[in-house]
Amino acid sequence: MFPGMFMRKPDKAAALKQLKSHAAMFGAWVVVIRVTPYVLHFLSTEKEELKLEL
Amino acid sequence: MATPIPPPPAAAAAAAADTKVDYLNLPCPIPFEELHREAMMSLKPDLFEGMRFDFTKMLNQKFSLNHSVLMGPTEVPSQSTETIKIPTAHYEFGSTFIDHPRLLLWGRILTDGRLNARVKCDLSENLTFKANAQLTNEPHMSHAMINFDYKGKDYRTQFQLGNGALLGASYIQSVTQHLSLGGEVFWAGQHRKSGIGYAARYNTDKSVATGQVASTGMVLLSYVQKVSEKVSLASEFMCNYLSRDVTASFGYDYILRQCRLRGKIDSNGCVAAFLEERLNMGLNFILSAELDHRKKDYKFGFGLTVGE
Repeated sequence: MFPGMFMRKPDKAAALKQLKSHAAMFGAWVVVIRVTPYVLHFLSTEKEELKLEL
Repeated sequence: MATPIPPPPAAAAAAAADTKVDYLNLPCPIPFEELHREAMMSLKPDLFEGMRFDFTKMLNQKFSLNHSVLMGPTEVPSQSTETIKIPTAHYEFGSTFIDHPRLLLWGRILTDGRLNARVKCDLSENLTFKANAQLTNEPHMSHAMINFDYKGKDYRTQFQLGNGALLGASYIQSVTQHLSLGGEVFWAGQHRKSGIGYAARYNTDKSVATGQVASTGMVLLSYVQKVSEKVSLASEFMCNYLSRDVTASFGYDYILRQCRLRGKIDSNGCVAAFLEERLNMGLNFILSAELDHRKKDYKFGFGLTVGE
């Protein structure tokens, strides 16, 4: 039948620990995505300033 | 003798300035769940086997009724590798209410008692509520899921709740004019399993490339190229590095004035084609074919659609 139905459930504490780890990774990734446009904006502005100086 | 005048440098500077990206005014990306939308349209048409008849009647601008009949063999799960099919017939009654763009109500019920229902409602300008349910007579086989979608200036975020203590969240945001990055996290409380996924999408006017990985072992890559106004070519690579399943698919989407033809071939030896032809205003003819040479499973279907 369906092997997944009979898989043993992981220990609750270990599962919650893994969930916290995944949630933390997700939050960090969201922060990285959020910051990326501002970093690119800063870099492009800096480049523009250099260009103006030339 | 006359010589061409070189273009003025101001115009060149203006042209260069036009290509400069404004990182503080990026477009809003498409929803996370529709990341592979273009590839799905080409590679996963609504294939069926047997005879299909759909009749849609608009009662007024917002409300419509739908009657569907499907007659043909249905595959039965079996222990052996051989495919077992039994002849079946279904009648499905449906109703749809659309108060564009704020509210959508959709329902379908089959003669065996299965019910499908969907709701989409704009709670505010940026917040959307979605729900879908599948109810059956069999115990413990009904499912329901609700979503809250929030649309920001250059990002979208979503929160999901499902029965079986299912929880999910996703986030997608534009980082350049053409590139979007996203992620998701999910928890299946009944099985005490959690997972995380990452996704990226790069799209231009002519092509779309997407990639997605998840801690469940799923890897999905797709690329769609618009060859001309009428022809799109699509490819997809799907694999699970835990179970070692690998599939590569290639397909096309050909849109002509009166018909649309889609087809695909994949590395599992499956060849499929799907033709929708408009015979008249509100009358469509459908041909469907799927040949699974490895499983020796061959499916052919034809159908008629009446109404919009």
